[in-house]
Amino acid sequence: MNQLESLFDNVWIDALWRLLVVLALMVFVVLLLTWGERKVIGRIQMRLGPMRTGPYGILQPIADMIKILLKEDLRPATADRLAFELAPFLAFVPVFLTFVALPFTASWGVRVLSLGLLYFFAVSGLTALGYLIAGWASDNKYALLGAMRTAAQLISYEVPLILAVLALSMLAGSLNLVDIVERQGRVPFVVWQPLGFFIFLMCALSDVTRRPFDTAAAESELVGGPWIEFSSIRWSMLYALTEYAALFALATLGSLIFLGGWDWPLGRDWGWWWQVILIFTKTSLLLMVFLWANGTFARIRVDQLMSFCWKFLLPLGLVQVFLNGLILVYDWPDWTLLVTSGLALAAAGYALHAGLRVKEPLRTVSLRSDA
Amino acid sequence: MAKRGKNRLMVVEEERDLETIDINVNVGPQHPATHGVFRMVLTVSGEKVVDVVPHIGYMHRGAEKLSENADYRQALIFQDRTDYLAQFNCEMCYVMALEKLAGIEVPERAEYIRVILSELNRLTSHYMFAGAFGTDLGVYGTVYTYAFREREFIQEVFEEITGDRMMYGYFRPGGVVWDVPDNFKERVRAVCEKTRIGINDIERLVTGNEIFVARSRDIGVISGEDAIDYGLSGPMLRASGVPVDLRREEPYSIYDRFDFDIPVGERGDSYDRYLVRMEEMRQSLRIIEQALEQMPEGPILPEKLPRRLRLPPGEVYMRTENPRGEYGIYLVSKGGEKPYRLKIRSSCFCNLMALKKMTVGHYVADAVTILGSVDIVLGEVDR
Amino acid sequence: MSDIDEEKEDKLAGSAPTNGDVFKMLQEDHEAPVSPGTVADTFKEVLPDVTFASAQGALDVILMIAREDVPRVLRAAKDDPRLDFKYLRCLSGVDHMERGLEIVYQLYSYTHKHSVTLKVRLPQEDPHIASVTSIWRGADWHEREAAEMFGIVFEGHPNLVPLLLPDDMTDHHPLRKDNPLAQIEEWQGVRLGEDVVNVGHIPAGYEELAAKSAGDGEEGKE
Repeated sequence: MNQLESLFDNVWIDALWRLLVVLALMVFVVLLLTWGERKVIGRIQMRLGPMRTGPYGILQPIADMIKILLKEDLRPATADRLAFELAPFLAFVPVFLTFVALPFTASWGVRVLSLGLLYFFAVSGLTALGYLIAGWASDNKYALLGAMRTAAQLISYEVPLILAVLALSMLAGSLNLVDIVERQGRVPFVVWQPLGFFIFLMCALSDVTRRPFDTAAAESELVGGPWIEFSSIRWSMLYALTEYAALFALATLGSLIFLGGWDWPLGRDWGWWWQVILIFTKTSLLLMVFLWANGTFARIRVDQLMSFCWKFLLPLGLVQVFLNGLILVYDWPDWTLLVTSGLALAAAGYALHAGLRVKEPLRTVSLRSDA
Repeated sequence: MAKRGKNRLMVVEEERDLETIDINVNVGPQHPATHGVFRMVLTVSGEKVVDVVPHIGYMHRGAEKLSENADYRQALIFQDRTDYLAQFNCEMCYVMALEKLAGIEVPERAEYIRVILSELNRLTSHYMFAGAFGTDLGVYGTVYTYAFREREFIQEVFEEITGDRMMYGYFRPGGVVWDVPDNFKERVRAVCEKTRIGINDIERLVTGNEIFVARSRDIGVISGEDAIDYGLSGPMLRASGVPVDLRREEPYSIYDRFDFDIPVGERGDSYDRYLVRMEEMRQSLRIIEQALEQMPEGPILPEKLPRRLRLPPGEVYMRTENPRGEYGIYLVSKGGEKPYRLKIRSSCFCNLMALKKMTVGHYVADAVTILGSVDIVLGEVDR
Repeated sequence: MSDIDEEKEDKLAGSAPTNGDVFKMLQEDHEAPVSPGTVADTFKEVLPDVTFASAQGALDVILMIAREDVPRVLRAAKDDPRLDFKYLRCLSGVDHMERGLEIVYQLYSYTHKHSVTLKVRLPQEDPHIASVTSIWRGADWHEREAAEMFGIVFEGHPNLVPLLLPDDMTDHHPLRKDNPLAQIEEWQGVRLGEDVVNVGHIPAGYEELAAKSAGDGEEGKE
């Protein structure tokens, strides 16, 4: 089913121009995010952020780009040549490929894939491979250690993410992203799946290694992350481009499948301009949440990271799948979804709070008036 | 060992298992968890730290030798540069050592000014700690900017009084060099108001946050007896449960006139050290307020003060409670205008000795947390 | 005994200090006597066979002991419940030139709330003393610093390598009085003035440069 209007009849040229548009959009968003993150984090930290490069610092990403391009492109002499050159591409290209499956409006996207959701996660998981190869190719044992930890984190957090999304596709009855968006005509899925949304947020943050899950970058403080030996444009591809593009992709996906995408409310009725506004707003909302978390939280330690994923998020994902299955099989009304999922989320939140909170009183400091 | 057998793979894995090496992680002289130029070499087995060897001396400037070649007025300057975040406290210790040996009486107003400035300096130092500790734990810089905003208010007061933002050189043996401006009391009261709000802001951001608690509770525990044996002092000692504060234990200057409490922790971990310092800030505010009320008018230097200070022969070990612990000046004088020996007992130097004891057995990421909770200033460690 | 008396008169630091000497050494620097009832009396009570020379300093009581008594006295200072000096505040070295090197221990007791300053005088040619790291672990770095700054050898110290100074600077002790404060950076090879004799520590690889700029080897011995 391809309802996309096309300017060209030749399917290859058609695909090419769509890809170019998506590429341009992605680059634009990455630049915007570079600037936006610095402004948002600056405001959280009570400072202004970039102000001098252009009005309100708008040209800051351009300045950053020029600086990075002019840097010397170092390569360790003993690094594996082919893998070193290949690694940034391996990290970045899968993220770009995920954009192929995303429908930005009802009638515009690169392709509408009937297995769009599956394609998205299948392809984005290849980024971990890119990081691993980057660490291996650097011929630096600290880079290798950092890369292994990053890969472990990315692979671990894929599992609950896929479970949450799987539960959602059970509800929608399809893996086709356009179908999922259309199924949310009256009520977005976040209402029916609060637990799934929570898992999605956590895992999305971890998938792009942002605070509070950025032990990969924290290793730079001590040991060195997987991109320690990369400089100039290679580093920028690995770190900035991949991270921001993945952030954008995940935010778009989240707004499509959970927040109603371009269809809620009244997307189809009012035309494509309203759909663009909707999807832009929702994606921006999710992006702001990610940036907000980046500026506020401390980072958790590697062992805490792993146990959070496997001991907390994974069982919750399974619970969500099970609940959805139960409700679908017995054909219970929709509000049971909200109630069960909401209760599960509340219980999870309570368990997390109780588990993290220490049993003894928090303030173990007493004041002595005598000497 | 190449063994031929059916289960080749298992043989290889067994061999590998016996050959694990501990790697040395060098947290080098320049590192982003910046407390100055400090190097520690961690020996890591898997994820756990097995050994810690701190290497100091990157900032050694020979302050003690330089002080021997400078007269007593000039040697005051080196005190600012040892602990450059608690300058007034260090200067206080030094000028009190001189006063004890020479028998100089300090006028009342000067005593109060000194105490108020020392306590304000304690506030700035603990703000710096709060910011740096949050950054060590991984917050991108939010706690840092909050803390520095508050600190800036106090720095402005210091600049108005002394003319300098960091190396004050304001105290003199016998008092202070010039009187404070006329609006001193109003300014300090206004700053205290803002500080109260600032402490609460930082506490709301940091103290109850589960991630902070998870990252710092039970990390770097040291017991009370071990703390005394290693010579720890200050908030590190108090967090381990030993209720000792030199302002109470051996009161110096006019601290016996003020009513304040001593925060004492129970568990001796990094989180307790953080809490102790936050509470100390509130107690410092109490002292400042009482001092502002009691401060009299009057001279700030004794009338008959010789221009060139000559101390009688003798020695003294003067100790004060700095924000980081016990700061001591051991001064040996053989008559004359220059110190014969000026030994600086710096609090961070002694606190760092316990680093290995606290860090062994924890993860690599915890080493940075523990170092942050010790709150070192390399100028003081290396002198 | 007469030999020892003569030695006492001639040069104090030439021989290992005997018991009578501690009084004289202390009297040279401090005249104020100690009032009764202070910690000096407790020390004499705990260790009656050790000779203590006592004086009243500006803040603390000062006790001087002989070098051989150091392990016993300090161990008793920590362990004996009447003294209970669990806290070693500071361990400094002082260079008194011909009269010897001095080690000063500042101790404090949290239970009895008393403090004391203990001093030991070492001869200049033979600066060995027992280490107290086995008594207080907090003496570790203090002793390392005193060793590298004064050249004092602490026997029994687990790791007596330079702490603040460069690792290879073991031949040169900056805080000694015969080591003057150089006007300009010595080891950069810049030529020193004529009155400066001791060129100081030259790190590995710079000997040629230093010798060249010292000029024909006439001034400044390396």
